[in-house]
Amino acid sequence: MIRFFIFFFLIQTLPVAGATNEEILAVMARQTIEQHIRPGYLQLQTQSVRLHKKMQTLCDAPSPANLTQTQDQFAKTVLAFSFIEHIHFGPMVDFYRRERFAYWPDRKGRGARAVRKILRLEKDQTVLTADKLANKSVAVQGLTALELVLFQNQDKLLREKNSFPCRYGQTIAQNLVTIANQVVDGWGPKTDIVHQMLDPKPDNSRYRNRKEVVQEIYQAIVSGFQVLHDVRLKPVLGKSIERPKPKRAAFWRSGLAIDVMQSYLKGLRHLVEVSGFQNMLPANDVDLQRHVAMVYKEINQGFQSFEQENLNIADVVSHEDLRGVYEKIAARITHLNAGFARNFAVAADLPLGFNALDGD
Amino acid sequence: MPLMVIDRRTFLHGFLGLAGSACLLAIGHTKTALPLYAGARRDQDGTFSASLFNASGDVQRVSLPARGHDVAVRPGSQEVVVFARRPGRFAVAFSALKTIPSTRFFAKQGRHFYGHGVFSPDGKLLYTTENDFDNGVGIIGVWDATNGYQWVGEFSSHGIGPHDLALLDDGVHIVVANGGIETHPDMGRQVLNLAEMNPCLVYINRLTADLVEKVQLSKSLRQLSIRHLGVGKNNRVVFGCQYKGPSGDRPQLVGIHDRGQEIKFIHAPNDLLPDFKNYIGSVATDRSGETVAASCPRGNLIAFWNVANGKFLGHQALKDGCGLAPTNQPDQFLATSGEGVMARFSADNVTRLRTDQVHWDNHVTFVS
Repeated sequence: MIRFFIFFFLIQTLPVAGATNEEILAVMARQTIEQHIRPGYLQLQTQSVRLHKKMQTLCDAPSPANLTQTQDQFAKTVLAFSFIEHIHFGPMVDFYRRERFAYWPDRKGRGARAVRKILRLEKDQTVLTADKLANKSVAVQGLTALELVLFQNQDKLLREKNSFPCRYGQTIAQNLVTIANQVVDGWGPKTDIVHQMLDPKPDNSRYRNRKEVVQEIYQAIVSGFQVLHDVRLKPVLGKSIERPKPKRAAFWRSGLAIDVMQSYLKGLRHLVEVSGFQNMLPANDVDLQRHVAMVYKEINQGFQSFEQENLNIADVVSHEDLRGVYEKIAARITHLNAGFARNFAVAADLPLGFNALDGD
Repeated sequence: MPLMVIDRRTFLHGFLGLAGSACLLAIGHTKTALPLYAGARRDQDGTFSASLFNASGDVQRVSLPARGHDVAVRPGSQEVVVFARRPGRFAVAFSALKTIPSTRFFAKQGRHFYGHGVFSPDGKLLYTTENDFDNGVGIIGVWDATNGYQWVGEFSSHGIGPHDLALLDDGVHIVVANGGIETHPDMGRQVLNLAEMNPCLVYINRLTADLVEKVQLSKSLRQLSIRHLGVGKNNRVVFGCQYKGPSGDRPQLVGIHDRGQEIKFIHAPNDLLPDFKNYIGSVATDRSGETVAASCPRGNLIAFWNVANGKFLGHQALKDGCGLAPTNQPDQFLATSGEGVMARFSADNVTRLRTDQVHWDNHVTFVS
């Protein structure tokens, strides 16, 4: 039995009042695919294509202005990736596409060393052909490699037309387009994953019922918030203000670290909202709605305060007051996740296994 | 249960981290004699503990500073050591004898425990799986149980991410499941080497620290993390895996290995395999060493095989069931669940023993 007030959003989306659980779960899956996953990857594809064009232009006509435009487009591509990065299932996970698209974290700097070696020697012709690059180490063929090309090799990029670093960067961008195309195609209407998510059956290999599909979405939300805190924000703090670790942030070299964190959160928030989980918070409970909105607002205000001062991540974690704001952002993200994790599972009747969720 | 709305109190309850399970209803106790077991758990008040228990309940309980994982039994005593769940650094030794105080010890700087350990046959030395996280390599720590669990040394696990380990019946060789997953406590539980995973099973002479044998999975299975071990009859090693590859893949998850041979997987029926959810939480062999059980807490089931011929024997349902240990009876296991259930299982029979208002952790261990 569905209580009349259960899903505010269903009033708007389901044609018939009194929808069954199955229908509700089906709507959650469909909305996630149609309003979040596909638009997210389409945006990534669009930005990747633009990046490739900008790289071509830069290689054909190297100039500071073209370099700046390429770097700006790089930023847009990175943010598009961060927005949809929490989707840990589907074609982006196949064939190591996610690691190939952006090799991070690169904790020991192995990936960066490999890219620097390619750029220093300028001999490896295999990185100048997209097919061959795609078969090389995941560390040298994605956004993190391109970041090194664009932000730590400016002089080389501008020295001549079609320089080795530029052609390498162009090939990386082409590789990103290929991966983005594959992922967009992989989420097409006739693909296996979409078919199984929208029409799960007991003999399916991936999803055997609708609850398993929604469980997958739920896991993306919960693990996404956890990753945002544990992997994106917290490591950057280091052990103390005297020993911060700003280089642990993703895309610190391009000065995008804080933007990436924000985009990652925006993507998660968007998923929470369009999937229908957000609407499990009762619309008529003003205090609760206000509470969640307030938490998001506090987080955004914190990030915006960094932006307004044009601060980079190193400034933030090494300055006492700013660091305090950053720590509060991290704490609020954990706070949100604690609320979402338990209560969304309860609301959607998903298993909240002590051993099953993040077991060992 | 229907889908439901969250009221404010419930939501904030979750926010405040005070959530307890709403499903912990006692189902009645069966007063059947149980031998002594040990396990880690989260208690009703949200704190963590480990307990030595029998059919009547706790014999001894020790509070833990954070979530525990597995328990190692010290031979010739009723003493056990419970280890922190990764990336924790604490371990606590305690005894069923209330006169013996508990001893808390910690992994060295730069190391954390993976949650598993095993004693030497004489009970003098304890071997623990550890992460040398700054170097990203697996370590076997050695601790002197006769001297307050002083650290006495360490040697390589010959792989990344050693998780479970077990002693073979010669008392000299230990088998280690190197899961292949690199993590660093600064990055929580994030997998740092998904594209370069290389799990392996290794045999190490514990007296010399020499690597005796190392077996790896095929390249197509490099994201199949070998995690938990049991040792069956004739030292046949049984292992359970967790798959980190694409969620649409459905590899077999339970394998066997005999020294000097290739790894073989023992098959679950194709129509059941998706229910494993690519995740084995625990593996145990029965008293006879002829039957192996593997728990699938994500799939809410326990599956059984014959160790000798790999034949699938059947499966039983247990919601969030994970802990598995042999009982005194052949083909039979004690199982515990995250919902506080304790039951005896075999491939064709289930006897529920009790349900407590606790969340049993991944493992339960037979003590005596």
